[in-house]
Amino acid sequence: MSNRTLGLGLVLLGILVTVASLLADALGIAAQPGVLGWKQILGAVVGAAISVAGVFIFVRRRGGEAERAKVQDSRPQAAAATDVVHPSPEPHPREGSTLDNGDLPIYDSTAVRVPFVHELTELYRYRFLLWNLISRDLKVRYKRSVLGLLWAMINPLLTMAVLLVVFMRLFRFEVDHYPVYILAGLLLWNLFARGTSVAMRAVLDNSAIRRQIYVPASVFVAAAVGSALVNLLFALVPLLILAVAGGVPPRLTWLYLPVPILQTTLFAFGVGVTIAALVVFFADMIDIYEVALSAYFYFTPIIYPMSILPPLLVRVQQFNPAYQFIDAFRLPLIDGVLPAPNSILLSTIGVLLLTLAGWSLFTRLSDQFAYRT
Amino acid sequence: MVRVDGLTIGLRGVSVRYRVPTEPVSTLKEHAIRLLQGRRAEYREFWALDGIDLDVQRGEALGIIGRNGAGKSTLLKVISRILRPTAGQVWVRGSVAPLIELGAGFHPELTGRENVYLNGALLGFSQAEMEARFDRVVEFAELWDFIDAPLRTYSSGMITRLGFAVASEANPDILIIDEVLSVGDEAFQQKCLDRMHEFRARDTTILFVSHALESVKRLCERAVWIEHGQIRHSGAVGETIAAYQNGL
Repeated sequence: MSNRTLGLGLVLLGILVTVASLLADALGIAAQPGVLGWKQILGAVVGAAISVAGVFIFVRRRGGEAERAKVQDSRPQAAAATDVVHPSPEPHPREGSTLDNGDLPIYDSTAVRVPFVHELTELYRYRFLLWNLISRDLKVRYKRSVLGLLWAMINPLLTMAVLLVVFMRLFRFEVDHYPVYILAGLLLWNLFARGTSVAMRAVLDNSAIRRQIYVPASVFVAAAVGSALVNLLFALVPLLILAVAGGVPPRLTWLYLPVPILQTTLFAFGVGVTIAALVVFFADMIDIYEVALSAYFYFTPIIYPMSILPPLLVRVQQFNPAYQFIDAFRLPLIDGVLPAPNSILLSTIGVLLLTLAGWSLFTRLSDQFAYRT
Repeated sequence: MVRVDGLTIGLRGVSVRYRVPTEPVSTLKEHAIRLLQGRRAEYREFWALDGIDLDVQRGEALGIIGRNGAGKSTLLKVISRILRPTAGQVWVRGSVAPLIELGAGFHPELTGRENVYLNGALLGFSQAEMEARFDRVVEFAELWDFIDAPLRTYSSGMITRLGFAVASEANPDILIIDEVLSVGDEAFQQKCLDRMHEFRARDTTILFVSHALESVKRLCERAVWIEHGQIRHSGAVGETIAAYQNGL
């Protein structure tokens, strides 16, 4: 059995274990129906871990060694000679270098490095570029408009107004402070949706630059999510004003609001970095993701209340990070209570695992981006 | 004046292979169908570089000549770490700044000032480092009157001047130039050439890719001729150019 099949098998097994543990209630194998038991959480974590391991094996098979191995036997005859008499692995005796150029940075294409860690240090080294890219996005988006940066605040308000007209007139949901409910949900959702959709194209769209100069690819993904985050921060101003105007008093629990925002940012980065890597290899991922994203929007109680969902779907929402984070954002904002820790913990662990897996996929494949784009 | 300890760039058996699919397999759908049918995707292999060995001494100006598609630009890409080679070793000491297609990182809606900072960031500079260089960049580009106007109002000559100014103020250890000397008016061209000679005096290593053999002859002391991803000839610039012209 090849590593590739093994990897794929592990991924499927992991997903199966995860889903079975989480949906134990629905499948009728739960010890205590209705309550999320610790065994379920354990099962979910183990399942996720198996999946991640599977992805590792799958990617490793396709990336590094296989590539190297094939190089040896598929090279043209002319080159074979140089291969046999492989010269000294390090062409330059470092001890020979003297005073004046000893501290210059050295790049060695064969240096052993762990992509997962290496890309992190590169991202840190290019933090000034990251900041420049985010501010470029903002400036370019609002520069030529009369209202300038005010648009970042007015835009979500207008969307909310449209939704209010539609939903208050047509559907009449029973939700307290419905305008704030909708706007809060939309803002957090926009952070996720905009962040991931721009991040998805980050590697492709910046290939013109990356063809001419070395820049770590992850900078562009981080910039996409970063500028979605900055946009959200601008839009918080009208949100809080609307809340107060609508009769929600400013509360101490508002201090908790940065937490769900950061959790959503991490979620967007994890998803974004994963698809950004996949899109380089599968062009139709863009269309698939766009459909999936809009399905996800309607699946998640953002513009409608949880109470209209059938019981099974209500239970499924426990494992929906988007809903968990949006809920954790609305509760302290509107009701003045903090979210229950266990529901948040599960989503956060899940999102963290996803981000780690996505980052490792992205960094392992990033050497091949330049060959593909 | 080759110094034993002065090696800046070393390539050993460097090969770059591109795999061009013989049929479209760039979508998930195609892959799924192929997986179900149990077929593997077929690729045509193309070696853009094929076992290149090359040493460049510090302060040397090396010309790279050859026909279109010979692998010249790919060679620059493995040295500036845009591409990791499929096989072999690339070893580079010092910072590398490319001067390829000037102004690639520029955005038309941003002002000249904002673009200078953005481009500096792409070259890996920090805010403080760019602030220290900013005045000299604008001075060299002769753009004081326009620096706060959006780039879309610039002429193409002005954009090129700004691009060259940023890249040359970067003051790298290794400067990579891919066919850009034909920019701006004559006075500015002269300024660029002067700047090149300054670089040479400062011990900057220069890699110069061009079809303009005269420019190569003027700027470089050594040249390599690349064909089909292999070094066909390497030696003094006059000698290599002569070999190249005879081989055409």
